[in-house]
Amino acid sequence: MWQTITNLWSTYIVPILQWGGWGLFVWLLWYVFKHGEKLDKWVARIDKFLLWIGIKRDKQYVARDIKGKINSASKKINKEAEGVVTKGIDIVWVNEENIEAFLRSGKVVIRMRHHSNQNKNVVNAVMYYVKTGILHTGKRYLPEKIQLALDFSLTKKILSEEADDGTAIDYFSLNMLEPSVKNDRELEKRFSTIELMEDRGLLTRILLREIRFIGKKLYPRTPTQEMLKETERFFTFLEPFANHRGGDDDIKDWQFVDKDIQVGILYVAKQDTISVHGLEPYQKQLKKRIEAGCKRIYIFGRQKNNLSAIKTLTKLIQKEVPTVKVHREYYFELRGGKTSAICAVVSVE
Amino acid sequence: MKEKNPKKEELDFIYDEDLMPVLEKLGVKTNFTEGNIKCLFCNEVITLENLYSFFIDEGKLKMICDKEDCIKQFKAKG
Repeated sequence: MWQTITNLWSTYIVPILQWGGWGLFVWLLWYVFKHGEKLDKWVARIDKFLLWIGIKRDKQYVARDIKGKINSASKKINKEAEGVVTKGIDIVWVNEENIEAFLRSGKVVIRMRHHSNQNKNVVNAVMYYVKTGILHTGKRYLPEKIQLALDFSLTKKILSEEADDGTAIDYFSLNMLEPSVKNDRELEKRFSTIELMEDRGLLTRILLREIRFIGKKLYPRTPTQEMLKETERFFTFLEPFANHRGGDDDIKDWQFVDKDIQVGILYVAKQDTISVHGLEPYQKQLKKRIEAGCKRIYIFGRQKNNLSAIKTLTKLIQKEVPTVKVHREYYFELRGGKTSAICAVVSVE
Repeated sequence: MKEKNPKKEELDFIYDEDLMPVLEKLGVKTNFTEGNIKCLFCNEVITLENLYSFFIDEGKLKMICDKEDCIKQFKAKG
């Protein structure tokens, strides 16, 4: 009996454990490669503990904590709109040995305080990252207040995504955001609109995407009044969509065709229309926008029936106009409960 | 439609404990401790309490303080 057990052990269990161990190791390596930001966050927690017991890990903790938070948030933003933010950050510490080379190459050095001021450090780092790492080539073509409001909103978004304990976002709201918007009506208005866009899923899916396209098209040209006015008109065009509460009456213009921006929007929302007329009315509207010169048409829909309707609609338009490209993104809208939603982008070449 | 993400952004930080040796290396430590360096935007004296960032502008070392308005102007400066 004992002999049988030891045979079974050495024949089957030991190899499984051996190969299982290697498998686990390979899986771990793959996981760390794919999710480096999670490793940073865990190591930051270990560093924080080591600091607490008196081991000197100040710089390591400050850097890992910031890196983990920013990289994790940028990954989430990129899931919503591929390519609008950088893959994240790397932190380089400047000291007396390398300072001259850094400054000579035109780099800006940001001061990080003692780890006991980590909320301030995180907020300063995120604000600076938003300024330099998110669409800096496109944002320069936005009017100043919209640019500032967008940076505030993105900073808030990053800090909210990673608000484990909520203290950095509280620090930001209290010390940066509230004092700024309190004394500036226009900034307050722009910021509120962007926040509504974020609630409706329009911030990453339309506004940031379009700012990226503007940057690709215009950078490095110096922003002219004409360019700034066009982006302001585009922002105004998006406002009714941000304020939309359902129904048809509050949105008048469903397309924006100007010199550098050509965008159309389509909501597939009415089950009555689909059940009576099928997809034809939507097909017509989509074609109308393409004929009007829209380079990208954003089609939004919520709930299961509309999701499949949009999938069919975009397949139909691809058959009819083979040059268009379609990108479908499924997500969950959290407004008024968790609802499945889709944003399909029809790009006209 | 799938877009490539831009590469990682490098952020250059200086930690509090490295600040004085760096200012010494740049030859501005005495000016800094004596309160002779002022914020590029608001002209307030830069101290250990309020230093936010520094960089070279038009060949000269410039510092800015951590006042909300100065950070805003710094952001706008690009």
